[in-house]
Amino acid sequence: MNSTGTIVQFKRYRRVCFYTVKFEGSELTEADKFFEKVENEEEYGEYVDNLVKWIKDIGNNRGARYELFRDERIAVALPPPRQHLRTHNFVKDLRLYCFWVSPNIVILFNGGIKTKINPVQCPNVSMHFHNANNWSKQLVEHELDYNGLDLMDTDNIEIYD
Amino acid sequence: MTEQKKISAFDRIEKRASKHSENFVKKSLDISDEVYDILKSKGWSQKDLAIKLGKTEAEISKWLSGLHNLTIKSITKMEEVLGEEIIMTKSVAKDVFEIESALFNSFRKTESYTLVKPVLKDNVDFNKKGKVIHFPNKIVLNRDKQADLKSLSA
Repeated sequence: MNSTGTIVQFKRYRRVCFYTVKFEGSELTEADKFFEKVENEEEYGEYVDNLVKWIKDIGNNRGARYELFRDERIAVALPPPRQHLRTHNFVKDLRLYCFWVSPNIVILFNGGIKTKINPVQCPNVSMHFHNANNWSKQLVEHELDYNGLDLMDTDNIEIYD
Repeated sequence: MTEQKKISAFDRIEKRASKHSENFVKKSLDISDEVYDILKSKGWSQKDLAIKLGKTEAEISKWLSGLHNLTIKSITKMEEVLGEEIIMTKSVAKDVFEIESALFNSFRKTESYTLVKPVLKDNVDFNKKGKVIHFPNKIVLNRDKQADLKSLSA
C-alpha cells in the first residue's frame, strides 16, 4: 500500500489542538481507527476511558507539555509516563502513538494494546509503532509551521504510507 | 451511514467516561482531600499514616490517589487511626452541624463568658460543602453555656 495522507484536525481544546492523519481512500482518520478499535475492548474499557480523559485534560488544562508523552524514538505516545498517571489512574498497556509539535499541537496516529515490553515485538502495536516513526520522520523533514493552536498550510503537508 | 456512526468513537468514549468515571474520581478525590486535611491538621505525613495502618507508603499513596476504589473497611481503618471521621452520611452530618452550629452561634452572641472548658467536640465545624474544617483554637464556654450544651444535646 502506498497512499498519501493529509493532516486534519481531530479535537480542538482550549490549550491544545490535536490533529491526525487521513489517508486517501480511507473513511476514518488514523486516530478514529484507534478509538474505533479500542472502544469496546471489555477488559480495557476503564483504561480507554482514562486515556480519553487524559487527552481532554491535556487539551483543556495542562497543555501538551513534552514530559506528558512517552518517548517512542522520533514519535511519542500517550498515555503519559507512569509518574504522571496519578490523576487519571493507569492506562495499562494502551499506546496511542503521536507526533509532538509544540505544547499546543499534537498529531495523533494509531496504536493498540501493547502486549510486549518492546513494541517492535508486539503483534498489536509493532506496525503502528513503525508507521508512527516513519510519519514522524517525514513531519520533521517538513519543518512544520504553526501559530498557537493552528498548524499552517496543512493542505500542503503530505505523508506517505 | 447510520446516526450512530456520525458520532466518532472518541466522542462516544468521552461521553461514557464522563458519565461513569468522573463521578467516581470526584468522590474519591473528596475523600482523599479530607484525609490530607486531617493529616495536615495533625502534623502527620502520609508515611505516619502508613506506619499506623501497618501499610507501606506506596499502598497509602495508591489509596489516596483519588482513583483507588476504597472500601468502607479501609476508610474505617483510617478513621480509627486518625481519630476522626472522614466521611459521614448526610443525616448524621446534619445532626452534628445543627447542634454545633447552634452552640457556636449562641456562644458568639454573648459577651459574658469565661474561658473554662472545651465544648465543641474534636475542635471541628463544617463548611458550606459539608467538609470538616478545623478551628485554630478550641471554643470554650462558661458553666451556663455548658448547661445549654447539655440541653441542646439531650
